[in-house]
Amino acid sequence: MGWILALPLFLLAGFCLPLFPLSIAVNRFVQRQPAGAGDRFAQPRGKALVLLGLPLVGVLLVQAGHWLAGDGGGWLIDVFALWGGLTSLLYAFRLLSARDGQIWIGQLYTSALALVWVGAAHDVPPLLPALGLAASLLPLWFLLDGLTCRFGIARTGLYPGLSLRMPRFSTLFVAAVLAAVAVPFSPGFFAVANLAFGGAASNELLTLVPLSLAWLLWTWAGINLLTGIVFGEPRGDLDYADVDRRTMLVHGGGLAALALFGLILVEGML
Amino acid sequence: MASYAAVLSYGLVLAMFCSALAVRASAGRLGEGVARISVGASALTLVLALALFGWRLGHGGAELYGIGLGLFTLYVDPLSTLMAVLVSAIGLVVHVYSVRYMQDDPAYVRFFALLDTIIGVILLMVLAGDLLTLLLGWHLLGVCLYFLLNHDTRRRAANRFAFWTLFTHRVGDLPLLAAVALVYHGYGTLSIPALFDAIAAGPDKATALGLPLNEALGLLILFAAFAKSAQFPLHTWLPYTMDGPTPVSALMHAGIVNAGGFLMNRFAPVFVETHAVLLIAFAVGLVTTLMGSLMMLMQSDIKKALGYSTMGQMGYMVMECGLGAFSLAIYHLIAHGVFKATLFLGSGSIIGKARKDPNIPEGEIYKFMVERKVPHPPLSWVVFAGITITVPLVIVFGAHQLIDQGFLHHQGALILLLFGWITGAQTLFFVYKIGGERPFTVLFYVVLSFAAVILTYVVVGHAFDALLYPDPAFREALYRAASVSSTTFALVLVLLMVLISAGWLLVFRTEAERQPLPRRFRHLYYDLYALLSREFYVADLYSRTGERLLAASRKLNALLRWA
Repeated sequence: MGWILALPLFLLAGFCLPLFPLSIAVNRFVQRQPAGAGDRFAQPRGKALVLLGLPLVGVLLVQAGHWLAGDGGGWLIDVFALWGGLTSLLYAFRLLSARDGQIWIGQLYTSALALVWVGAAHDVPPLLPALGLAASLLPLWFLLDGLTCRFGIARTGLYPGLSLRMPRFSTLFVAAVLAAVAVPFSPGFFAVANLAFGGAASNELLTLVPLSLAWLLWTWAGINLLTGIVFGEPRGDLDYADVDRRTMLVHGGGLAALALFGLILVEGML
Repeated sequence: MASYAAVLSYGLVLAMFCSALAVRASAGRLGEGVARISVGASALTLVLALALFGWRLGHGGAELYGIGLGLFTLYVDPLSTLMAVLVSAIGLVVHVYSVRYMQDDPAYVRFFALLDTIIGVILLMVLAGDLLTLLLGWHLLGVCLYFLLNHDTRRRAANRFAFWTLFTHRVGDLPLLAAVALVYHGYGTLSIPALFDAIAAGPDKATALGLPLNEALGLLILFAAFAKSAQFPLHTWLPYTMDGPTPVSALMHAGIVNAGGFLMNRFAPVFVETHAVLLIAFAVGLVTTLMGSLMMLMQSDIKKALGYSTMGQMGYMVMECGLGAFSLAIYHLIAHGVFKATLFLGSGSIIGKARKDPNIPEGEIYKFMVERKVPHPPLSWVVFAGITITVPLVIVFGAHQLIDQGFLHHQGALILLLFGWITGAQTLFFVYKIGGERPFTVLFYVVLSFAAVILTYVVVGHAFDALLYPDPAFREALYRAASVSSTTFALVLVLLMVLISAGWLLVFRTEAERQPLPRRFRHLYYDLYALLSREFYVADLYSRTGERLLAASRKLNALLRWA
């Protein structure tokens, strides 16, 4: 009967490692505009902290639920794994048409973190994959905020061709999008590999199908984002200001640190 | 001595990555002079690759080197060192060509940095000693290619086709990820040599769902190879990516597209333990060869025609693997890489000349193509048909009997001979068709060239066999894995030979009577022409599917209020 105790914990975890429709709360939070200067959790840094912290809470709840469910509650975590896989695919599919930066990153966050459930059902320790997937989104989060500050909105298709007008920013942006869609050497890539390697031991289909399809759709969505912002013919009626060397170094350093974290993640996995 | 090889192999991989960083760092100071760094590193890479290949030839066997991490181990064996030589040689040629070709390009520095990176990634992939490093290289290859193809960031067409390339490559990454996950679960290792030992020790493992593990692995590896090597129906990215700079096309067609053939050879010990997987490779390779060759004939754009030609050649390479002739596939990909790089790099000057003087130079081809007044050779079509059918047959069988009599006992070898025969006969038929003033001289030279090509192919093919798969028992096992029952095989072979011979006789007769088949079956011919000119609607189907998926995604988002 441990599953009765575990169920509410898993449901609570479904807000942190988002499961549809509980995931709507996280996505609303990401899209929320600050009510004023004192609305700290609606500021980009506050939101980033929450987005990084939520998976940790989710992992704790999942592990507590696992412990309470015991051996007889395996079916329950399998149901949640299936739910997680479907949520990930749903959001990856929706990501294809997202043009607004905040909606885009909220949907990718949901799609990525929902995959942790797939691993959790198959005895993959969820902490490192959850952290890896969440951390991979941070550089893009801040760069999209940078776009909002410059142009008033972070939206694909409104100001294409930034590679010709803001080459430094574009380089960072490309690297951040690649990290977000789990391209090597981002922690996201190793997190996906970790989930795949661990999950394949229990059930290849339930693990590999959602992982692979979601990953494929992320790539498509990532290219859509690059196409509408970095590539194309730049507009002549806008003022462009590229990032300075210091910002470039800070962001570049952050990306390098992420790559290092990815390597640590993979060494922990092997 | 082992550390000497380790230094060489890591130096080989790191040289191009370091060059990419140096190019970026010194762009402000050197401007277009950064190309010197890039070309220098490329030359150094070739020297290192040759030294490593020489060292491996001298010592034999295979070694695994690591740096104390689970990742980034390098496996130095004949296959990896041979591929490293090919990659670095093509890399150097492309680098040297690009120095002037890309001159005055506003993104000169970015181009060289990316070119260095992609060569480094390919070298990492071919030398990978563990599956995760192989997966990294396999994955990054598509990403780097995307940015190289998107060199002109303003062009929508370049962007669109670069996306097709990346997406198809990603489709090929997924089966490899699944294969690596299954290996890790099934054999508990990611090290490539340890995996081969484990497969040899216990080949009858099953997956968690009870499927035969090696069969599943073989299939997944095959699918991964299909996407990278542009096999039908995952071929559309290859002929459409002509908006990238010509050096990138050359690199892509001479090097990157060979990744599938390399992967299949790398996992040859897995394919040895499979039963039906190689037959799928044969079937897909055959369809791709036919499609690629047919569609090549329909193109008026030289670069697109070369693109489809590559598709056909890649189909042939996969088909060779499907027949168990793995080392022959490596020889084929090297030979193809060299001639296709030459054709691509030369296509630019041909286009330039054609723009200056659009007239076809007068000669026998002109008379045949434009004037259409060339008489057939003064010989009965029956005699010429007899020569066409028998002479190539005698050459291909004779050459193989001369070098290795046992070769003909393999089913795969016989199929390859069949293709050799068809190719030779087709060339001789063309001599008859174009006619000319000295048909017998031309015939003599064609037969002589064909004999030289076949002999070289056989001799070098056997040398590659001895180099890559020195164990005769393993080679036998590869051919066995690609075999079907001998009765079925004999029946199919005889049927094919009769059909092909009858087909040629029919074509010869209609040519002699000046009533070519396209004129007789006009409607069928036009239907086929329309189908081929639209490239079997494969690209249209993908575009339409993509648009519908995007529309469905938009609808779903609107329904769920984007949250």
